[in-house]
Amino acid sequence: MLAGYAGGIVDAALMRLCDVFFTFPTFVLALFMVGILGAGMGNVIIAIALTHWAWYARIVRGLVLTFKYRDYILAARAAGTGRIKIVVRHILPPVFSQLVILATMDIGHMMLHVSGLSFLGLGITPPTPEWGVMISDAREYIWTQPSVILWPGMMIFLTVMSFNLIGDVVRDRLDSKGKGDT
Amino acid sequence: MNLMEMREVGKTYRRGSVFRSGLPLDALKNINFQIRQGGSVGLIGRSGSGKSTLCRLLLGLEKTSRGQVIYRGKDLAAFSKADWRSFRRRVQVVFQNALGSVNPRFTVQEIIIEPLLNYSTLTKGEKERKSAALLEQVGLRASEGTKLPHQVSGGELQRICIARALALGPEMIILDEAVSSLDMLIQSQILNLLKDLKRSFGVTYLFISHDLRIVSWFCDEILVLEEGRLVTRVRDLQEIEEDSDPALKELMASVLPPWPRQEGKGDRHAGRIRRRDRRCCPDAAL
Repeated sequence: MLAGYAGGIVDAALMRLCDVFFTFPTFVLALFMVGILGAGMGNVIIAIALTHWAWYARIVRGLVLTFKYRDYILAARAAGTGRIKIVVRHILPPVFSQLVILATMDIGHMMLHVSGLSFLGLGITPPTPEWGVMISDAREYIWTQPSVILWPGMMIFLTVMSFNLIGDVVRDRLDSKGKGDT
Repeated sequence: MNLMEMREVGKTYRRGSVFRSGLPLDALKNINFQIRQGGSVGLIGRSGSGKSTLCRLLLGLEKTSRGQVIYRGKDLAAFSKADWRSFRRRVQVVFQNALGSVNPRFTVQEIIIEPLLNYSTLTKGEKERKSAALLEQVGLRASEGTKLPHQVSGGELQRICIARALALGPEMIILDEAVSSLDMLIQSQILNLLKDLKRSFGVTYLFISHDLRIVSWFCDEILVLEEGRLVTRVRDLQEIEEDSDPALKELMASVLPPWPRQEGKGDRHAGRIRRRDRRCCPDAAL
């Protein structure tokens, strides 16, 4: 948000930091972070947040830039609206609604990441129930009792699918007020 | 007394790419003019002649590359925070693109009262009363206040933008093609309202337009901008017709006559059209 609106050196510094994070493959970076922080629910969340923030930062900056140069921002400046008020009243609401849509659709993606890490034994550890862990544990019984691996897999699929559909609904609802915003 | 002034103003943009250094593009060159308090200055020119750039420089929304923009004897570049606050309150603008210059998420009422909220706090009732009064001033119903911008027509939206510019009771209004999208009836209604404000409160105008007839009717002085330069200045329609500047001649030639002029041999319809014109508009000077 700051990079997009302030521009100049602030923008350049923040975006180069993002570029550094982009040079590592996300999953490898998450593995590295969990390796440092150790396994466990809290650490997995921190690792995934740290590896994905740059992607969100880029998107928010891009959105801020598209709104920053709209005529209504110029009109608001000409009417005496201050910088903070412009951000809060004119830029934040459309950026936030776009971000909520993206985040909702991304929940499924993040769940797959967590499950992937748990499958490798680096995420959530037993006795906390987790579908990735269940799939990992059920590998040995895949030929004798395939339903043990099928059900957690099915649940991951259904949950990710549900969040994607919720994302679609959220987009339709939030976009209806600000026609022409996107 | 001069309210606003441009002294030797120039604006250069740079267009470049990763592989090529930017070539300078002079949008405005050596602009000098004054707007006296209570006056109305017209600015005409073809698309791309630099009219909107000049408008943004006058408003301090962009910085000049050269020269000074002066408001009440003080350079905009030397303005303090308090100066800007006072300037923004006193100088208002109506942009060309009505749909683009309103937040699509705001209701008409929120759009109109936005300038007021920057300078005072209003109760819900005061907001409704103010917005209703401003809407009626520009010929719209107070009930329009609850609508969103995409629910009103382009002409209505332009009037909403004019109402927003009037909200703070400014001493100067810059109208950037503000009435071009309105039909003739609404145009005359808005122009009469603006003239009334000039008579009653001494509001100063900078009227940017393509329409020579409106500019010559509304303004005391007309500046002609061509490829970023002020090429000539005239006072009225007669001076426009007498002026030999090719840019002005070209603009004159592009003005459509209010009725068909074709009257060749064997043109049976021309006389009938003229007779009908006389019946419809007896005062029309044929």
